[in-house]
Amino acid sequence: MNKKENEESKGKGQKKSSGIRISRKQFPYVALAPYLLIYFAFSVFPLVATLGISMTDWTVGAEIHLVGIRNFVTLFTDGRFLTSLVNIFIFVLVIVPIELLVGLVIANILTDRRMVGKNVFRLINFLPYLLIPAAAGVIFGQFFGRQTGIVNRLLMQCGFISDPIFWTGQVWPARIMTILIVLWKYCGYTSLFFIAGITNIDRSVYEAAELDGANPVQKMFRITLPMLKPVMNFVALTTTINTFQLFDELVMLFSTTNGRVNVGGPSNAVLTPIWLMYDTAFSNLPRYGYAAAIAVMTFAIIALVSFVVGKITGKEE
Amino acid sequence: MKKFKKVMAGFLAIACVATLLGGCGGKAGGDDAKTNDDGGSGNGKTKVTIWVNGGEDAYVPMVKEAFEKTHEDIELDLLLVPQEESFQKIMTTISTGGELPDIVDVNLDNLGQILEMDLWEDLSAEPYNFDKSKLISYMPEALSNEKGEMVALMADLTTCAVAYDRALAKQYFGTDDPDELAAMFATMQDYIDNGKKVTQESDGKVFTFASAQDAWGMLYAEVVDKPLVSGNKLDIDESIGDIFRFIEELQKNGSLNLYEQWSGEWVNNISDSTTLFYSCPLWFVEWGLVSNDSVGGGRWGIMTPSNGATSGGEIFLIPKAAADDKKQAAYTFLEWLCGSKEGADALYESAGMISGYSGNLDEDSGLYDTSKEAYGGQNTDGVFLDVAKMDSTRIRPLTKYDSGIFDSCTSVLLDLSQGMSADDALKQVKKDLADKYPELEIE
Repeated sequence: MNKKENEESKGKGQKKSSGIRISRKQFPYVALAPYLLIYFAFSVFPLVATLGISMTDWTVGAEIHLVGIRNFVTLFTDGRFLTSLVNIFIFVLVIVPIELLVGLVIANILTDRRMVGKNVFRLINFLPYLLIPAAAGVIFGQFFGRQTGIVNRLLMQCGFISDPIFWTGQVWPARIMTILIVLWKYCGYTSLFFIAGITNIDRSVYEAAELDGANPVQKMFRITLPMLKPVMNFVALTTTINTFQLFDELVMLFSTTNGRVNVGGPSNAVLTPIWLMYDTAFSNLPRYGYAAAIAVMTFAIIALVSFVVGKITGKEE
Repeated sequence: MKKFKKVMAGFLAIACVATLLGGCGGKAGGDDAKTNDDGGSGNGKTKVTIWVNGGEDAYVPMVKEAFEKTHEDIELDLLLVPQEESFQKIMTTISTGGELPDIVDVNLDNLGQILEMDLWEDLSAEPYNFDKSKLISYMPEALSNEKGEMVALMADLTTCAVAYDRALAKQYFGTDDPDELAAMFATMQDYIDNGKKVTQESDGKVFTFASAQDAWGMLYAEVVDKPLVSGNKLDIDESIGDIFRFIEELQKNGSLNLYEQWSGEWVNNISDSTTLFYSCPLWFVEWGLVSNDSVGGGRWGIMTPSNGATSGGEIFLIPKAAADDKKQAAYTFLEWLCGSKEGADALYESAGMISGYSGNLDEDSGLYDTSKEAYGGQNTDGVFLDVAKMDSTRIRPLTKYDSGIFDSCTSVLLDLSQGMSADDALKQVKKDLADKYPELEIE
């Protein structure tokens, strides 16, 4: 087949297959269209709608009125909302650094060349993340029981406490229990990112350092940590956002066997903005407008905190 | 890189909130909801859809067969909605203008909110003309809206009694006879004084109640005289305040154990003989004590409370928006379940539940001849029917705030059981309610 024939056959092929012509420039948009449609329908639209609802007094069985920013103004004097903010900042400030640190330590151990059965331990490490919140709630409800819980018995046998701690009935024990459960569940997940990051670091860098006489601590601080910085930034950001979304685990922890939920835990010690939003929107006397305002405000705070975290972690780049 | 991070942060924040909102909205439908819909009634029967409040152990699925056997032209189409999602599903449907089922099933705790909406058929008017005398006398008023229309029917007898540990009663009070004990515990002060005596004699090993919630449950059932909100004003200083003061006294005397009601530990404690009393609605007889007691052997007794008491109840309403033929069929079912001897018998036989049918109060109804082995052969049904006959038994006038007030009050019970004063607890409740319902007048 000569060149001319070849071009002709190409032209025929094009004519047959191209009912609609899509230019090279248009192609990416067409390819992305299904995703974008779904994204706008299920992500952007609800967000915009929530903003609209937040400026109304929408509730059940009454006419809806526009109230402007009244719901947002009320938020600043709402004791429950302010308490939920205090709680969530306590959780973020405690959970994020510990989760990063523990995740990093676990990742370091699980990438050690000398370790035997690495894959088995990696799987075990990830298992808590796979457990559904309902199961975690039941398990930890038993662990932290006041009279017969393992944790209290252990602490008493070791002589750390003389009277059992009422984990679900006191402010700080409730917060500590929550923090421990979140760390137990997510540290393994966080370590996965670090494992991926460490695995990607070129072994020759470590070998060169070893030749120069670097010890494990030096290798950690001079090689691993600096080269993990992009991963660290990403993990810090996502962990912060995940912590802000604390909800499922709390509801399960503070539910009783007859399905009743002690919203916010003892004295609202573990009430989070998302939990408050849910309770406001789906309680027996729903206030959708106000709940939407809580959602929008929470979104703004998450965005602001994410921005600050991004600024801090990405400062040197 | 900076720009990328900003975009990334923004994207993640948007995605997480949007996902959450989407998730919350979807919850009302509930993945857990199960239906036995067979795809329509092509058999000439009128299909009545009911969103059943609760799972398989709710009353309606248990009586479905008995009803359909005698009403061959009607088919009950049940959607079982978990109790914790049921009311939420109804509220979401109403607020979004969705289609309600032909029968709405709610718990009495939520009736105040439901009665405020002009969405329900008046069952005491044409074409239904429900005979109010078929219900036990304290019920019709509670089931009526502000206009005096009876828009709801109640299936179960909701009276509340007090369960006690027979062995402990005999050991510390010299008798396990329910009438003698009821006379001994005629006032709240009797519970405080006798409880203190038992705590001292047992070196703090026997408690009057296993938790503050148990003490609360017994007295809250007796708050029947006036609404918790009058006009727009919160009125709980006496009613709720008295309960808190009662719990405070018990706690000071060491008569209150420190369990959390319905926690695993609390349930296990039922098998230990360390608690004198449990607040006992009718359903608690079987599903509270008997099903959680691993010891058995007739350990329990039931006595009448010091005052008429009611708690909870399953309420049914027919939406005005339902189709006419469905409304009539729905009413046929409700009248059968709540206001007939046949329905009462079916409910008792299939679910062990006494209905609110007034005929049940007759001495020859058969319910006064029953006995329960787990209760030492006592006729426990008769105790609940006796409570229904007490002059002071009624259902408190309900308001749309009751459920929220209940939640706020029960949230401080653990603090009360650990030494918080009644006054501080009441202040905390008021503060919580002021945040929840800014429109309420709260002193």
